[in-house]
Amino acid sequence: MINWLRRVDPAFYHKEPHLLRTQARIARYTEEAQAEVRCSVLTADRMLHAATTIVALSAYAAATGVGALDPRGDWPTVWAFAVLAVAAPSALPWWPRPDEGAWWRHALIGSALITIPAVWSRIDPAVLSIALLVGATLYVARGRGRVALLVLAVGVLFGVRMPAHPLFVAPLVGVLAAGAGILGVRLIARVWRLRPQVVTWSAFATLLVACAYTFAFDAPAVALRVPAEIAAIAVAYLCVCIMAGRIRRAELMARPDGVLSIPQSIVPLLDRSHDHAIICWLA
Amino acid sequence: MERPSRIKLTIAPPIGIAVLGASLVAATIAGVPHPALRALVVFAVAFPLLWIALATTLSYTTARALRTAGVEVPSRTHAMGSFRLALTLAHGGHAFPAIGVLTSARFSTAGVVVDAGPWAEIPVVEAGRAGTSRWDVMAKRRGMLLVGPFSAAVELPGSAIRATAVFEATHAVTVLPAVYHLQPFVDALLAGRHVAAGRFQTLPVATEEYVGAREYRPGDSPKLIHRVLSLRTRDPDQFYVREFQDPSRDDLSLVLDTAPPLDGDAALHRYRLEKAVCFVSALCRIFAARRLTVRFVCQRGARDVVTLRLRPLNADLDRLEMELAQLDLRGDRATLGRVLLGEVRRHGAAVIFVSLRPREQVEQQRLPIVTLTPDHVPVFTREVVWQ
Repeated sequence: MINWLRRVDPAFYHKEPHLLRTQARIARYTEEAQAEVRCSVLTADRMLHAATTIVALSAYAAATGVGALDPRGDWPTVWAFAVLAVAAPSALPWWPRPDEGAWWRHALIGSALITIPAVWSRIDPAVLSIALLVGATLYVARGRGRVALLVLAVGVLFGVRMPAHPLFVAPLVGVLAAGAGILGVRLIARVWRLRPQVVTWSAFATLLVACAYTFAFDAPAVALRVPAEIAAIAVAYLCVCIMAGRIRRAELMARPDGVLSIPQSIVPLLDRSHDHAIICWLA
Repeated sequence: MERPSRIKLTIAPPIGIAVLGASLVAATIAGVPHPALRALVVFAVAFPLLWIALATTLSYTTARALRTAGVEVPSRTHAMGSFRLALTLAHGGHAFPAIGVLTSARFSTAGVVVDAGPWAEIPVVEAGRAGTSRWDVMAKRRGMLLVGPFSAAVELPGSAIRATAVFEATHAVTVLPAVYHLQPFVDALLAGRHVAAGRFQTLPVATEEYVGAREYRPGDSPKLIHRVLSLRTRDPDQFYVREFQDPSRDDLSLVLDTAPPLDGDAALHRYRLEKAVCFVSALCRIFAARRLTVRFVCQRGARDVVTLRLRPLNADLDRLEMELAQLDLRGDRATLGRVLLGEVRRHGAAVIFVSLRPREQVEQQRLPIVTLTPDHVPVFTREVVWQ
């Protein structure tokens, strides 16, 4: 008996858990961890970015009546829509960090949005000035300036439709719209990490709000190009469906590949530290 | 094929429904006063509604049409070992395939429940066809593991609901003790066991086999002296004799302590019990390999002492493992003392007592038994087998 006891490895009870733990898989099983992984999958998804961009550009086309809105007369509205179409997607949580050339690209896209529809009618210094203004604001507004630019654009959109002078009403409406927008975004942001499909519904809602704005304030101009308008909205809707599919893919990719049972206070078996009764993982 | 016993519906977040509903109303109100825009308004409003309605309907009908075509689960497994679990789902619908079916199983054992996945995906199950999802499960707790109910969730992108078909059938898996591999020198437990009950060793007969060596005691036959081992010792007066035994004799008793602790350290005691159970199982396998017949005795509950006669047969070892799988700390000291005394009194019985206490008790020291404390288990254990 004494001989046996001499063979006892004093470190056995300390080594054993480490030896056993190497065999157990630790899974990403918290909701928050899953949300992080999901977000990183979305950030790396180029098709999602392309679909988001197309949704934004199609929404711009639908909101401006596919070129029916005259940049010379309604320049604040056109400016605001162009700014929103270019800047809003990059404010989304899955959008990758902008590189050096991103600001130039945004400025060029913004200018092109104004210029290209005018090719069919007439390009004059007024149109070029608006295009330049859009490009300049998109190039200049970076970081937090982008948020301010989005708020300003929403403010302009609603401010110019107010009976009073836009210069006085736009800031007030801008603040109200920004407050409402921040509230809505925060509510959705709280949900979307856990239920990312809410983004699909929000995208549909954004497109419908843009349509509602156009129906309410620019109906005569839009009525001239209903088929093109339907086509633009259809493209936007289809891209929203693609977005929904990509988000679903991210959900599947980010789901945990294994779970552990809740650790117990009573040690059930051999390893005393890694005391999960059941471990299950995908085969 | 088993139909889902119920369909659990999880509604989309209210904020999403509210935002979309409000925007639909806004678009409708803004478009109604303009007859020229009627087609545009109808399209703009109808498309999201139709998409959501279609996705919702398909999610629900697909979940209802799912059937379990089979569950592949073993009836028993060893603790620390993993087994493959497979669920085959058939699609009983006729029209649309089931897309993106996520399946999950619930596991429960002695108060521990895992019902949060992991969700295994079956990408597409066409109508009338079947798809299978698989998991690897490792059960670390000895006893009964219940697998089920199974869940199959369908949520198409844009759907307002997540429809989860729940199949209530539950499958029981007996989790046997973990498999220990013991050191070869565990044979030392058998050396000297004949003397334990006052039996004197004589010359071996034809049916007996060599089991080990022990120190020479007065009365031993000089013919049994192990010359090689004796020459190796430094003391010239120290000798070792060889021991023989008849493997078919039922003269080896293995008693397992199942009495709860007196000091209240239940966690540590439970830990020791688990190790002792696995050790006893491994020890019996070793004895069976040597063609020994063992009497296994332990207390299963109040006034419930179980005695198994284990011949070197797989069926007997299976019986032992099934018995060990259900053991818990339900013994008492008085019964344990009586059991030990009874085993010692059996003529010629050598008794190995696997104790849960770190030290031998006084009453046990008086008995001619081999007591293995929790400190001995690691000494004799070479490794735990992970399957």
